[in-house]
Amino acid sequence: MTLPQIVPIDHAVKEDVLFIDFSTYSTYSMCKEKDRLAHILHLRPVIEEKPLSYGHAIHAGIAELRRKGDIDAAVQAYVQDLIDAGSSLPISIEDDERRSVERGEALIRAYAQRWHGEPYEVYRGSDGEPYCEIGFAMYFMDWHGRPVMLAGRMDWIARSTIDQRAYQFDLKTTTSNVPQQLKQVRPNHQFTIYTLAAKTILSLDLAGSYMDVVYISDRKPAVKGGPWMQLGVDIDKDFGRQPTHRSATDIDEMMFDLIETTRERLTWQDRLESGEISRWPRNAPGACFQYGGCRYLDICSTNCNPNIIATNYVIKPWLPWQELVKKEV
Amino acid sequence: MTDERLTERSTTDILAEIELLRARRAVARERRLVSTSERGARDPKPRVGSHGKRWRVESVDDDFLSGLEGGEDEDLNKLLE
Repeated sequence: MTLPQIVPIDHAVKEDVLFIDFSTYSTYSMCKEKDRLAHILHLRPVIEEKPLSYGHAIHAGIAELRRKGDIDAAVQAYVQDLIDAGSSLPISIEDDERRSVERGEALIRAYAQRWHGEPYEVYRGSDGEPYCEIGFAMYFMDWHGRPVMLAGRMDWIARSTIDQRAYQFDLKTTTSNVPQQLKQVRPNHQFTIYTLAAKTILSLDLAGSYMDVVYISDRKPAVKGGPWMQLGVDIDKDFGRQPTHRSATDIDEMMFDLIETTRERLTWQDRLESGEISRWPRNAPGACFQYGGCRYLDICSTNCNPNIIATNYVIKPWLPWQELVKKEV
Repeated sequence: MTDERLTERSTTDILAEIELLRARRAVARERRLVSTSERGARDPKPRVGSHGKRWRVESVDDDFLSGLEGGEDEDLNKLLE
């Protein structure tokens, strides 16, 4: 199998390429109709999706920690991200909602202490830029003469201070327990895509990847216990990391899954655009009630009632190349 | 509180509120610990017997003790029950 090639972003945009990313792939695999609503119609709920905005903000804070090594700057970036998102999350950790601003602040500070002294430092390019929040897009197949690109974003790449090799880290926030989350490193196409992207875009042979987990507990500040427990954080149990590795065979096998699934998806997309069908099949109830319920439950339960769509959703197109072009400039 | 959008606030303002919440909690925690230890010293919890009966030995005067001298241990046990 030929390795994907690097395609300059400006060229890609001019050619009207098709994009796919891990989120599109996994959403399509879970429920075709959910994928259509999310990635073809680009519908987003009007009401805040708290797990998403909270996870995004924690990511922003920890990315800043990687870039600058400054805990206060990381906390500022975290809070600013919530403000920019127009979040209405509660401030106090005493609130019934576990995703409080206060807990996130404590988690970022605890994360910095938990991994202080780790044998990894952020990888830097020849221009000194840290390899944090790296957006990428790489060509991987054609569809009726149109190039299809695989887009994504890696959290950060580290250099081991022991063996000097490159490792990729992917941060996950979770409300399920940490050991359970850590089991999900293999098989996991996300890590395989990152391994491929590091090789293709950055010419880096990753020695491995880490799933880097932050647990969003509903723990309240303890009256007794250490200083972190008094802030509602268990510094030992609320964080975890699991290493994993991908071989060339792993990459080939992932590409098989990705290409076959993408071909199938694009066939459905063609049928939709030609007017042959008006929607995609639903996986009900298999996909409807996972992770606290699908964000499109009210659409499917009313058979795509246009009033429900107009009232409860806004259109926010997913345009990964825009950010990439901005980065290129 | 949950309906308030953070957009209307600054990071400094939000972080100051978090500090204030923690300071209040720390004061409350101190008070709680102090009051618990003070109460413990002043008014120890009565011990609970094996049958769930509450009893405590308030004080024992010398006359009482002298009255028991030479008595059987069983008498003392009955009294304490």
